[in-house]
Amino acid sequence: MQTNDVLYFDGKSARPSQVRVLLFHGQVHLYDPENNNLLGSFPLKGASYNKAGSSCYFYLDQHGLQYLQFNNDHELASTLAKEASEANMSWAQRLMKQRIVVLFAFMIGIFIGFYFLLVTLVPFLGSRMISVDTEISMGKKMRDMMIQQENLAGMTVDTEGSAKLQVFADRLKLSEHYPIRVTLVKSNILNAYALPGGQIVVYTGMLEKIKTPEALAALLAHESTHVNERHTLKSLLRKSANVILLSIIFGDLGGVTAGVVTNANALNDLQFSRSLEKEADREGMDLMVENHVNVDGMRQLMMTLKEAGDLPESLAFLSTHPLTKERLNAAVKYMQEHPQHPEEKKDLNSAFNALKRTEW
Amino acid sequence: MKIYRSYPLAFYGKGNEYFRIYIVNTILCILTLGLYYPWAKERKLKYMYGKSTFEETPFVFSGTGNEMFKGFIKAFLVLAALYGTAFYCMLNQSMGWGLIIIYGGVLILFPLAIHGSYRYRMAKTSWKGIRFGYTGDRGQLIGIFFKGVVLTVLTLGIYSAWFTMNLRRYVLSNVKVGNARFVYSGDGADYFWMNLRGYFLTVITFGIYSFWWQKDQFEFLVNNLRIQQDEDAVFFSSTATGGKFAKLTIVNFLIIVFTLGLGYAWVVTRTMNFVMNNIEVNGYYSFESLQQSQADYSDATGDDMADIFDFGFVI
Repeated sequence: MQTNDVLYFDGKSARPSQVRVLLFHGQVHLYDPENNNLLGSFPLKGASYNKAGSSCYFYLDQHGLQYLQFNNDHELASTLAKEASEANMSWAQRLMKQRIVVLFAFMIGIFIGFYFLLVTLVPFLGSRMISVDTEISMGKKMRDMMIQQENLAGMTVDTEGSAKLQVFADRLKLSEHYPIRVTLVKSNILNAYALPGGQIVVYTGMLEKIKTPEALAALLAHESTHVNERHTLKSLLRKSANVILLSIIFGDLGGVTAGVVTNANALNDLQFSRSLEKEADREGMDLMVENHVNVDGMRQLMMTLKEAGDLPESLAFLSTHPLTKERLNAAVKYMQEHPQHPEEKKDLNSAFNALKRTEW
Repeated sequence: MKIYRSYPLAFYGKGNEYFRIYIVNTILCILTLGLYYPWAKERKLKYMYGKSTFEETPFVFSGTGNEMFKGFIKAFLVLAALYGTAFYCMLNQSMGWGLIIIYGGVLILFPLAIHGSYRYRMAKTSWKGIRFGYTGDRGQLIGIFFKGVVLTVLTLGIYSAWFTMNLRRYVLSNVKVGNARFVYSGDGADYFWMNLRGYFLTVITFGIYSFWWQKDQFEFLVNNLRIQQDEDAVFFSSTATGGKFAKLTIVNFLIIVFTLGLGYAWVVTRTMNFVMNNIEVNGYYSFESLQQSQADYSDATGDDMADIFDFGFVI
């Protein structure tokens, strides 16, 4: 045993002395090399090991003030290293002993698992905690804010038209829990949107293009489904969950990663949005059936949208809605699967005609 | 006759070793919703210290996750009490009191956090079995801090150079290693002119001079530092250049960009390497004559409060 090469630092001064080291009974024993007197014994538990440069260091206690120093190629080097780590194996250390690839895969797995957990839990719990009444008042506030913004952009509310549209909407049973309130805004935008709590906004650009009461019913049914299924609320909660998660995980990994992930996340949001739109179409049609309105109205609505143009298929993943072509096909398929005996809805027809007579 | 010699500083840490630590730390922090952080900090500091060597002997960090966990709890409680009282005042229409409590509280807490942080870190740092220590006085530090903040506000920021130097001189000159002490001798006026020059040249060159400004700041820290015991001393000096800083920063940036952030561990080890390789220590002192003199100190509250406030460790 090359006893000459082991230096012992006693934690009282920076000057080391030479010692002879023996390992047995789970302890490290130090002996004076001149007279073989026992200088001290230290349990392996609480010891630690480090390698830096060309020397190895074996720390005899938790404070690290007393330690042994020897060359990398000393016989004791590997033995002491092994003994120290085995006696003090925390599960974090066990984890660190895995191969980097395994660790990396584990980390990715946890990220993904946590992501899905948060992304399902937060909207679920959040929507449970927000009551219908809160949602209705939230929706009113959001609607007022949106109308204000639209006013600033030069788009004003058509009060007369809104009242007539409301008459039409009231003649349908669109929602069990929420009061459906419609607002008509003067603009040639071909769109309509729903806010939480029953607020629906329709642009005159959309209304102009709608030629039948069934198609209008389809539009309102679609938007009402967004309301009934609390889509906007869920979407907001999901976005917050994502933002929180991303900032926890990627907080200190630099702007580039965060940027890449935020964009990936945005694409994910669009996917969520598209699935909600499909649901709104499908359940909207269910609503129409319940109201004994001809489901063909949805197909007509899709034909109207189709005229306005569609995204090329290759860019479908960038859209908040599924391609109109897909929605059209879905509507036709629905009609085939749900043969219907629609009634003639005289009250809807008259309300629709009154609406269409309005100038805007 | 004392020999004038050089004392090598080195860093032996490797990117892939630290990457392992970093991944495990991240995994465990996520799994424990952040509670693992003090132990993650312990593991990181132990690694960084253990791979940094002076005269080929590594440093040791003997702080533990347990101590730092307790410190975090205490730091959170103090901050929660402070912010809680302030918000209570603000919600009850005493906006004025609320603001006074927050600003006054933070004004006192910052120097206390610095004090506690240095006491803990230094007591938990050792080299060749000899503990470091911080022997500054809390009251004096608060005094320097108050004077500094007031004068800086009154001079619209100009005094900040003197304030920074006063703080740095006080804190670093109270760091001891065994029976030797550190001394920092940077001057406020010199610091002011150095930074003014650096700022204007950086603006004129659209940022290119920033690397040379960084090198000036690094030099200002290192070159004014020495270790002293009675008549013996060793002096620190920087061998960094603006060009070397530029290379370090640019390569680090490229690593992060091309690895989408995964290369972070290598950036950290590269930077540590750079720092250690660009500091030279020369002098007369025989470090074998260091005696254990500093006491142990295990309250990590200050260190953890400084962590929450996000201070860098060196002022």
